[in-house]
Formats: sequence, structure tokens, C-alpha cells
Amino acid sequence: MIFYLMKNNLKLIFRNKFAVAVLLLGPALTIAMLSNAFESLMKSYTVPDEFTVGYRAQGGVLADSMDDIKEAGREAGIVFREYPDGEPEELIANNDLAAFADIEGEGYTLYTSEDHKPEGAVTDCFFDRVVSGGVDAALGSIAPDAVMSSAVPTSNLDYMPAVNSTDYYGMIYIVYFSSLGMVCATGMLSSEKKNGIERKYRVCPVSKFGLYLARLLPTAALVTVCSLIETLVTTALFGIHWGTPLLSALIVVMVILAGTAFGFMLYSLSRNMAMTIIALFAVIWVMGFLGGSFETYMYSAVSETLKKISFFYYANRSLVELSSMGKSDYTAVSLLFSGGIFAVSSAVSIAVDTIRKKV
Amino acid sequence: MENVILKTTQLTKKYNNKAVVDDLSLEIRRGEIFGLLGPNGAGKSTTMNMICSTVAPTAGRVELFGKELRSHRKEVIRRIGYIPQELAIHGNLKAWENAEMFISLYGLKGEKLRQAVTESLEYVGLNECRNEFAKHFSGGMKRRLNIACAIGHSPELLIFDEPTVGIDPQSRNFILEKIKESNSSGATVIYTSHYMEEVEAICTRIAIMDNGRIIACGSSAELKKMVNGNDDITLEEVFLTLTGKKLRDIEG
Repeated sequence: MIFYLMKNNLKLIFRNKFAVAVLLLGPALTIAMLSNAFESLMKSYTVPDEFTVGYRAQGGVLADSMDDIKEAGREAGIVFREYPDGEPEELIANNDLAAFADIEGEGYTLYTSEDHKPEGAVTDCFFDRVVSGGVDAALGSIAPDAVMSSAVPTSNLDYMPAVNSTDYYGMIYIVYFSSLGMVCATGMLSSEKKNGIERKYRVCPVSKFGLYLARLLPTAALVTVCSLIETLVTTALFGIHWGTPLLSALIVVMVILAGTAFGFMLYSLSRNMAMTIIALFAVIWVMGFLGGSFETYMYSAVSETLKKISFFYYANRSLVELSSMGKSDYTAVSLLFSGGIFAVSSAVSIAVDTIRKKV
Repeated sequence: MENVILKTTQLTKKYNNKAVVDDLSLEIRRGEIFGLLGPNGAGKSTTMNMICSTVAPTAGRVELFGKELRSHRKEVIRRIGYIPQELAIHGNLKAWENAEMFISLYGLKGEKLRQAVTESLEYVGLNECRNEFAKHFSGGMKRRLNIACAIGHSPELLIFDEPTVGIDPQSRNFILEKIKESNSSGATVIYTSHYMEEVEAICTRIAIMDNGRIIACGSSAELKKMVNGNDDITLEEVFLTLTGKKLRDIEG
């Protein structure tokens, strides 16, 4: 029964040419602008396969374990070279070091160079793991030797993936614009409201769930097609490297469903198109800000806790890691987060419409 | 086959403790064209909404085709064709797409649906411009398309809510003729309008509502006799005598 309703709703949405044009042109223009603007910045954040870090060890647990630390570092692409004397800043400058670690007792001071910011961040992260592993080991009365060989998880170090600005913004803006897909449905929803069609639906033997699907699915389908076209065009134009295609597509489709359902929920609650669009853009902007849609999530000043509120963070990080590393621990969380938003928003929309009808 | 198509028993709707429809009991029999008249705020639209189950009554019950509406909603609603006062059509859809969209909601599909779309567009004289967008139609054409969208599933009860508002005399005449034609083909009709001459011309029985209650009901001649003792006055005079001449600015 709802097949014909969906088909004609799809026509209505498709005939809203302005919204479709925005959805088609928006990502391409934004990707071109932002990838160009952040190109040099992103280049400076690329981490080489191997880099050298100077160190000076003056007694203590860390100094005693230096052989193990060097071994673990080698596996992680960090070559440690000892410099017993000299000022760290001069040593970095004169020996082309990525960073310098002054190790003393159970602590260390890390000197990093402005020219090697990402390597400095990776070294800092590496030492973090070493120190926290040592503390854990001390609490568990494990010998420091055992700690060094087992507690430094070199293969699981939380590296920032090396990705250039075009790849980053090329993927991120497909996701960002996809989440705004509900905008495409404005023509259909406005027409329904303006012409009293919602009231007419109530006199038809069709369920609230059926009506909801008949609005949501065509919208999501059109946004998916637009995103696919946009992905193909921007990939051809800018040479964006997407990771595992099916997994990446699944992440984007789930974001589309979540964003569209969220937009429909806002409309169900407000029954006002202008309010819905303002609220949708505001929420998506804030989520995008937190989740790395403007400033890259790797280097943004936003706290980790706030980043994790945003579903963009998981989708963005997952796509970037799939592209740069071929795998991501964030994929499942991203799919679950988007799926959760979709389910909750849909349930609220249907419940609100059902309650409203009974008045 | 049940003779009473619609029966309301002590139907009441209150908003903020004020009764908009008050203890309304009414029977509409098969084959009638039943006119519902009343000034603004009389409760006509609320009554219609309760009959169509778009508004829940505060008290009382509605029976359609011998079945209680609330518990048999899906079953009985299929047998109703509702033509709202608003032009409930999408301007960005073509005439046939509008008809297909709304007729399909009653379970028709495939060849049956295509046939129903063509027949209903032919019925309202719009089949020749079936491929034109509704937004390019004149007011009268939109009204006719509105009707086509509601009759494609061959309903037994047609509810017209002021279907001739804002259209030219030719379109109005066409619509009234079609209503009579539908009635001759077996459909029962409930008709609301502010145009007394229309109601008088097509309705077999007329109810006049005011303040949520039916204050008079009968054929046009019976209503005239009720007021004047003979039928030497117009229905409009009957209406004004019964409901008064005071302006009503409240929406009903």
C-alpha cells in the first residue's frame, strides 16, 4: 500500500530542485575549499614511517628499562638515540631529531619541535603507554622487565592516522552533508501541511508507521543517491582515497538514516519547518564541531569527552582510519551510535504523531 | 445490508470544558444526500472530524455501517471517501500522480489502481490533462482533482466538506451534478456548505446545527414549514431565523 505513496513522495522530494542542488553541489564546493585551505597544515601533520628521538636517561625505573623501551620503539617506528650531554633544543636542531626525551627517575620531560609536531605527539603517546604500563605493573607487583616486554602494546598504539587534507575533508563532508539530508524533504512536508494532506491521511486506512516509512525512506534513498554521485564525482576530481568501500558506504548510509530520522523527529515535535531547519542545522553544526567536521578531530582543542558525544566523531574517525590503516576500532561504535539515533528518533516521531492524532 | 449508514449517539466533544459538539444524536440512511448547515463555530467540522475519526470524542459513540468506529476503524474507513475543504493535493505532482497516491492508500494496486485512477479522472473531467502538474490547474480543476483523489476506491459514504468554496459557477454546477450522479449510483453523501441554494438543490435531508446541537432536521420543505407554516420562504431565511443574525467569528 505504501509503495505508491513512497514512489510519489520520492517524486515530490526530487522535484525540490533547490534542496537537491545544495546536496549535490555543497560537498564538492566545501571539499574543494577546505582541502585547499588546510593542505599545508595537514601535510605538516603527516607522520613518517620512521623517525629519530634523542634521549638522556639518568637513573630510575625508566632508565633501567631503556633497552626494552628502545626495542618497543623500533617496532613502533621510533629510533631512540642517546645524547648524554647538551641542551635538548640544540640537540633537536643540530641532529634533525623529531623530539628529545629527558628521562629521570619514574618521569620524563619531552621536548618537541615545531617542525615535527605529529612525531612529538606520537612519542608522547608512546611514553604515556610506557609510564602507565609501568605504574600498572608496580601496582600489580610485576617486575619492570616483564612490564616492558608485555605492557607496551606497540601494535595497538593510538596513532593518529596519516591522511592528507583532501582525503580527510573529502570523506568528512560527504558525511556532514548526508546528515542534513532531511532538508530535501522540506518540499514534501510543507506541501502536506499547507494543503491539509496530513489530515487526509488520517482518514485513510494506513498506519502511522507506514506513513512514517513512506516519508523517511524516499528521503533517505534520494540522499543516498546524491551522496553516491557526490562521492564518485569528488573521488574523480580530487582523487580521494576511501577505505574499505562496503564498510565506508555502510557508515555513510547509517549516518544518512540517523540524520534524516533526527530531522523528522524535530519536525514531529515542532510542526514548524523553519524551526526544524534551524534546530537541525544548529545541532548538526555543534556535533560537527565536536566531531571533527571543521577542525580535524586529531588536532582539535575539543576535549576527548566532548568529542565522544558527537556521532560524527565515530563516523569521521572510522572513515579516516579505514582509509589510512584499512581498519578501525570505531566502525562498530559508529554504526551502533547512528543506529541508536535512528531507532530513538523514529520511535519518538511515531509516538508524537500517534499522541497528537488522539487529541 | 444495513439501512442506517451512520449513527451517532450522544456524541460530545469538549475543549477546555466547553462543549463544541453537545450530545449529538443523528442517523443517516443509505442513499441519502444529507446536508449539514450551521454558522461558523456551530460544531460542523468537529462533528465531521469525529465521524472521520480524526478527532476523538469526549463522550458518545459513532457507528458506521453498523460497526462502532473506534474498534473497527480500519475496516469502516475504507468505505468512506472524504473530500476536505482544503485542496488536499500536491501541486508538484501531476494529476494522475495525485490520484494514484491517494487512491492507493485504500489498498488498490497494479492494473486495478491504474484503472481506478483513469476512471476517477474521467469522472471529474480531468483525464485529458492527467499529465499536467496540479499547481498549474485553476481553482475549479483543483477542486475536481480533490474529488477524484477521494472517490477512486468507490466508497459507499462520501463526505464533502464545503467542496465548492472559491470556484466559478460552471465548476460548482459540475461538482453538484457529480454529487447527484454518485448518489444515483448508490453512494450516500454527507454535505456541508454555507451556500444554501446548493444544499437545497441536492440534499434530501438537512440538519441545521448551532452551539454544538442539531436545532432542526428534515427536508427543505419540512424546515420551511417548521419556521413559517408554509414553504414560502427561502432556506437562507429559515437558517437565519433559527440561528439568528448575530455575526459568528469563531471557527467551527
